[in-house]
Amino acid sequence: MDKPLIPKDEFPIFRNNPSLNFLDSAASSQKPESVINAMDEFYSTTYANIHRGMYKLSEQSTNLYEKAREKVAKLINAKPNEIIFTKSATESLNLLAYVLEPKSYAVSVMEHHSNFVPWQFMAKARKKPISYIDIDDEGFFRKLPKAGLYALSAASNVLGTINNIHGLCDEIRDNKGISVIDATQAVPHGKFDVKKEGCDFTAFSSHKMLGPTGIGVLYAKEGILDNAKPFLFGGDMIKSVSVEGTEFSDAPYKYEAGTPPIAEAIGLSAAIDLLEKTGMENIRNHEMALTKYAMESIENIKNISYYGPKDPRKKAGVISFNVSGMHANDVAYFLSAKNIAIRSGHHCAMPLHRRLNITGTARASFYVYNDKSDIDALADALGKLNFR
Amino acid sequence: MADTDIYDKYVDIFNQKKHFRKLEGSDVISADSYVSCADNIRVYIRVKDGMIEDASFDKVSCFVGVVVSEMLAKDIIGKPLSYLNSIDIQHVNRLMGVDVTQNFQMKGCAELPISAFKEIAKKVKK
Repeated sequence: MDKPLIPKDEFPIFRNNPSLNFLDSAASSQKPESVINAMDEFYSTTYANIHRGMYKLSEQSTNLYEKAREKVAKLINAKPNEIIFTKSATESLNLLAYVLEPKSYAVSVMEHHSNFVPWQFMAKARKKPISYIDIDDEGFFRKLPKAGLYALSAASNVLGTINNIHGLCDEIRDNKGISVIDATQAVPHGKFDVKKEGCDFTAFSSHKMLGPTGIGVLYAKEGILDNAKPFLFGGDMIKSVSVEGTEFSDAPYKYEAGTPPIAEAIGLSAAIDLLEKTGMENIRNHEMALTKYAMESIENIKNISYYGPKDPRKKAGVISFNVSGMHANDVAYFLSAKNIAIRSGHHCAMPLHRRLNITGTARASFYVYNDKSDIDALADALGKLNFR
Repeated sequence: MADTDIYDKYVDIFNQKKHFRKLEGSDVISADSYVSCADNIRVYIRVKDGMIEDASFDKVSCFVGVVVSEMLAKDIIGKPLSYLNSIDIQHVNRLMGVDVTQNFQMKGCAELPISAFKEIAKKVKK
């Protein structure tokens, strides 16, 4: 905790802005040089479209893309054919909302809008019942209702609450339901094993785990999408096309229509290399120590209250808080003047803020390049906040 | 002007705001929200003989939203109702002496009271 888990000088942004205290990784992480270089090298030496080229460059490009799929699969203990590349976690969840047709839905009030709005919209459009899963004051899910599909987050992007996904997926399976887990705030920050958790679907994004924007991941348990309809139509997702009709490929290719985010997959692959070299358990422990230290530091500052679990073992590296008498935006503006980057607002979780009876929060979130000095800078600035 | 300079320049207006209140007996109320920062502003006006006799605002907003609401409320009092049609972001820039459009978030916060006051004008016409 005294120093970053991955040195700041491995990130060009910190070399260019050495005094930056970046505490907004729950929104998006910074990019290490290894990721930038991997994408640059690919574009400079190997770039070609994948899958249908007989020439060497296309073959190399295809190999790199498919190796990225293997690497993602290994990270979460899945098989490569269970990994679908999308443009974002949001698209992964929208894809599912479109292709899955359950008899009823259950969505938690704590979800990011990307795991809330698609289900709400589809339930209404298809005239199917939807129920909302309440939380306790720390963000732990209350009793699950009976439903055909459950959309739940592994870790809250606002409260940081880490729910017991393994137990929930067991319960969902007992209810004969399908589990859709938004692991966007979980996969980048610790070991996440889809087989151990027992979920049917898991979505996460690259840009929150040191990788580039423009690529998301959807884990779909083998065979579960065999009879589901495609999402987008076009090249690379077909077996054959004729005027009589079209036969579609199997997953994952059925859900990767058109030219995919090739360079982004290669960037993600480089990010995973660095994360695995660092160690997912080490990352979790580092963030837990930072979170504990941040909670202790903030607790002592007058007029500040924070939300979510008080036990750092049950909390991801996210602290949302409010300063009495100050709008969260203003807190963020003032911190920005001290080169401290935090986020403010509802963090794409309006139902959660309504549930907590607050309009918005300021949020600090931590990652591998943060250390104690970032928290000290935050606490020091928060202690001096006022309009004078 | 840096973002924080706006705070320095308008801190007195923020702290001594005179129009942050519910306007009893108001003719028209309009509310609008800015989804990006969860702001929600409600504005009130009282009209007599086509002139804006009083104006105010309440609910939740950040510093920029409050300052712009306060300045607009003060600005429109004593003006004909049709004056509301002329207020826009450039008008706010002139009032403040700052180009708030330079900061995307601040622009959104400043546009919130503009849109709420303009909505009032539409309601009155109906």
